[in-house]
Amino acid sequence: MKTMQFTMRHPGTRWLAPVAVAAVVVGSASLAHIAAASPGSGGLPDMTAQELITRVQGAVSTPVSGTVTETADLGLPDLSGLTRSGPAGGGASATSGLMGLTTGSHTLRVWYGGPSKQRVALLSSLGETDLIHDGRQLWTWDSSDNSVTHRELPAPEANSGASSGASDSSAVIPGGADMPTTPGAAAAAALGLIGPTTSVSVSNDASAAGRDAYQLTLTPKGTGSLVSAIRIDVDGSTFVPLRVEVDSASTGAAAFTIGFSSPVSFAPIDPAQFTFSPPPGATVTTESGGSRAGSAPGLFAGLKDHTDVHVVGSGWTSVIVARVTGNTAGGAPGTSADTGPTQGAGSTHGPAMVRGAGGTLGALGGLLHSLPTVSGSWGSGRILAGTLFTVVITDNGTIAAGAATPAIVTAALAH
Amino acid sequence: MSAESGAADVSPTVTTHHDAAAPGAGIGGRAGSHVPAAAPSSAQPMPLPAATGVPRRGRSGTTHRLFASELALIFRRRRNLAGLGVLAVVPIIIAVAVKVSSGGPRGADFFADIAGNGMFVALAALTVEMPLFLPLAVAAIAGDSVAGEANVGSLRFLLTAPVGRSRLLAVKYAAVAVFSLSATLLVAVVGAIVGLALFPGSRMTMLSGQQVSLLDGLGRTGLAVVYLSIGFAALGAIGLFISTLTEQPIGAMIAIVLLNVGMFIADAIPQLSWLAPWLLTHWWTSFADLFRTPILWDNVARGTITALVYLAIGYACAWARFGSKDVTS
Repeated sequence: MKTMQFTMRHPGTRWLAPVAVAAVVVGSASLAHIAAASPGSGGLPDMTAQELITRVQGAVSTPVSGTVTETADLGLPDLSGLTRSGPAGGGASATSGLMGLTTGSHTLRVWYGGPSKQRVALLSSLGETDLIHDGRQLWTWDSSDNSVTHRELPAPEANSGASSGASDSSAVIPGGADMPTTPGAAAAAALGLIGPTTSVSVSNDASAAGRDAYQLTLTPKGTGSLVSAIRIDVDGSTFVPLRVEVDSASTGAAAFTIGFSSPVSFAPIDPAQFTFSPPPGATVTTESGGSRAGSAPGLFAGLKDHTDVHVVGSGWTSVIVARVTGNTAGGAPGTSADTGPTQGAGSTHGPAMVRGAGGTLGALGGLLHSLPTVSGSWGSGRILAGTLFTVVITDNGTIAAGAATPAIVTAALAH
Repeated sequence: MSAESGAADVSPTVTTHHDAAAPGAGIGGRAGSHVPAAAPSSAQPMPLPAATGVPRRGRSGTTHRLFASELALIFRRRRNLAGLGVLAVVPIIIAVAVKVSSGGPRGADFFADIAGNGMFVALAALTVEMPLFLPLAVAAIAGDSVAGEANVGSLRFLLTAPVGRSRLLAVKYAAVAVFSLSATLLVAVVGAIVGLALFPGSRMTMLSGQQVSLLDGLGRTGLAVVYLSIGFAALGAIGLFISTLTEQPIGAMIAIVLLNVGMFIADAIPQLSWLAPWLLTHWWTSFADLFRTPILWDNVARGTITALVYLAIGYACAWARFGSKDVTS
């Protein structure tokens, strides 16, 4: 009552109320911001890179779930034309939904239940694209057109062990080589492979998703790479990779970041998360074929049969040069989707998928004309100079791509 | 006008009051709150003698009657009923349009799901009405709440009621909040009824492609209605403040709608992306997160907190302004 009488006599003091509310809000918001941005406590015991990688390999079955934020600034032209170009009901729309990840910032929900059980949901404002992997079952779901694709994966021995672990750090280890039998040996092998070209360091005072973390930093030793560093934050108690950042040498900033937001859960995941049955009314496409989970999408699967691929250079500045030998759309930019790689590819891939790949190629052809031209002793073509990689497409259909500067990539063409 | 004036049936308990601008005018003036000075209530003699110091129970009883009369004023006004009618027509149009044109291009929003389950008519209607129609309806009520009374000269009579300005403002705002919930609920209920009448209504397919029971879907729709209502009620709190700044209810309403649209525009400008999380409207589309499996609470929680902050600041500003305002009309 006294306060009421006071505010009655001094009406101006009433304005203190909204000011106080605003101050509390701004104060607590900035406190939360400071708390989120603060580095880890540094209380983690020291660890060498080999020990850390060994522990990460040991944690490959640790369940982890949470919300993941992905931000890409790859310096690509606007790909929104591609995102909606796939024919409805085909396998292309799920691919192009994931293709959208190459630009801007996205939110995903991730449930990782081990090497053979994963669910990833890419969230959009009023929609969702899901990828559900459970053993040999691989489902994709796109809410924008109610489409489902289902693929039966090959028997487990074809993708055994840590190579299909889908853990971010395992990507460092090249697949196909003789797999070491223990995680420790694998870590040593991986470090041995990258050792000559890469400096590896570990710090124990990082923080990711609000948790204390180790940070494994890989830095190219030579020059010419567009990647200046790869930083992998590994949870200090469970050794699950929480965040990966790729820094660009050309912009001096992070060009690609993917990481869990706080809170992240390591609790066992309800198996129902990994089951999927197409809802009534959905367009279901069944795909056969031996592609492993997470391998190149239809676009590249179709191209593979027609190209002669070799690698020029080594380490961080290696450049992939692909000479298109068949009658594919890649040789003639801007050709219509009808000239897609229908022949040959049809035996292993569903027709809808090939159509999808052709449509995407047609859209890519249109995109090519917006790219700057480049020429040299090797001829002339178009160049896509991104923040992390360079792609040159010559007028006669040769593609050269690498995480290296344009000078190195064009030099590889002349090779 | 005269049809509206029968709204308030407040028994005229009269007391002296510190804010009383016109001593002797009873709360009965409330009945004619939109009737010019020639209203019968102000012409009538005081039916009850003035009492000093109203007992607590009497005071809260007055508050209840004031609240009831405020609600009656809102929900019996023809223009408000017409506005609610427009809100309710949208889901009917959506349902009929989808029913008539089966096939055709499928939208990215909830429209594609309507053919599978009629409940999605409610969600499609909420999505369509969320950016403008529902905020406009709330803006009309909130903008009118104080400025409307000031405009027709009934505010000073209202202030002679045996309730303080703070309590009067609370009653005004409670009515705005009730309207926010009612308008949103109306859209959802009409959408659900029409949808389930025209389309199948068994299991609902969520955005994640998994199905839930109709009961589960109803519960989620209810949560969406509550979530959106909180957002609209927050806009209403800012509207209440704007309404205390002017005596022109139309001006207040326009200002609220401009603020709402302005927030949507700012949210759409990529260069202002740093501002987006602070915008009230930014979080409204997050109601769709309630239709994922499992429900994603992050954005809904942030949206609710953001709305409550806007609500608190808007209401505190309204309280500060209304308490220190010189009421001359």
